[in-house]
Amino acid sequence: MMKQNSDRVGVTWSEGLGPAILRNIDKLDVVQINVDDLVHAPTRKLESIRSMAANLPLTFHSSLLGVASAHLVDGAMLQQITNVLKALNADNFSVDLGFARAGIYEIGAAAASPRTIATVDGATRNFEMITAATGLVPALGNVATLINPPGSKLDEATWISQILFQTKAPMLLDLYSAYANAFNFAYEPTKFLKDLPLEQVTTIHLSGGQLLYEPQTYSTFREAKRLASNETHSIPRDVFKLLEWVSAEAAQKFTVIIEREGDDSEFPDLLNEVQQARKAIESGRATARRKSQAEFLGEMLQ
Amino acid sequence: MSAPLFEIVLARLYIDVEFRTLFLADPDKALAEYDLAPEEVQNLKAIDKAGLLMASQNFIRLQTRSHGGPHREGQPDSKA
Repeated sequence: MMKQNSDRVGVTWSEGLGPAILRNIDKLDVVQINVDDLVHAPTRKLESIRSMAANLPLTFHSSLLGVASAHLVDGAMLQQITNVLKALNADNFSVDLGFARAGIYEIGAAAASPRTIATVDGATRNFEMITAATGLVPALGNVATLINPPGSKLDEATWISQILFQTKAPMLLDLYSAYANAFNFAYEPTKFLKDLPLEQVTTIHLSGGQLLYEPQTYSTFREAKRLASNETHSIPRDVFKLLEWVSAEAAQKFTVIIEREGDDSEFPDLLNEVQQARKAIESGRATARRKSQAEFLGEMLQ
Repeated sequence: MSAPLFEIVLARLYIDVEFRTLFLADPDKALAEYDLAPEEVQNLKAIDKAGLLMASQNFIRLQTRSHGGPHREGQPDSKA
């Protein structure tokens, strides 16, 4: 993937939002294609997506490969994903750092992996498999979790950092996942972000979620709640603040994707979130410029 | 220590409601069929039980979303 000259903000393609996306293509910088949704797609559907690429940059994402696992990525599934990427002439790819299956058990989503050296090494091995199969270097993304993964020996930031160090992969930073995990396990989201190699972040995901009550039988305290990520709720203001913070801390340009499902009626809200994301990035970049100027003046005055 | 086996048990806890119910009632009985190291058994017994139930429900919700997803040859449908 070529180095970007400017920050880009876009949305995720879905059947429901497709017509609205095509009518508003001039208001978007990029559209993300969820490759998992296309493995059974007819050729004409892949052709229509490929034709969209003539007018708008596309990014390609998979949640279900199960990269962060002590098990190898499923070979048949990797082949299916590779076929879609090649059919769409993909020049980039990102995956979630979770495990989606083990043995005969299909979780159907990217679950948080036990954070151990075994899964760091497993993720590295799977990253190499994916790179060899697809010819693309996938960005690796953090995931939201409602459970503190049992058997973990490393905190999330250390675990991700070790995988990124071993693979030298770009990072997909999911800011809602960072926000939700910080809420669920009682720490500051910026503490997690500060411990990541932010210079490796190329892509950022934004989404919403909802508060769920813990089951009473095992509740940690009365009416305790946890945040679950989803693609139907609006992005919280605090998540835009995290985008602003990251935009101030890291100098490279980002591709920011708003992950939201819906239909035509929800597209105005989605476009509003695209605008909010652009403002948050610009505000963060402005903060970085002011800080840089102040440091320069400080050095001149010494 | 067997990280792959530990993941198998964890994945089963997430999606197999009968196994999860047995585990919450009698973890030793549920885990008896697996050749786990004592430390792994302890880690599973100390699992965040509220999180386990919430995560399991969330995975069921995500599985029932509209998209089909990739297909694994020869694998059973293991939805809980």
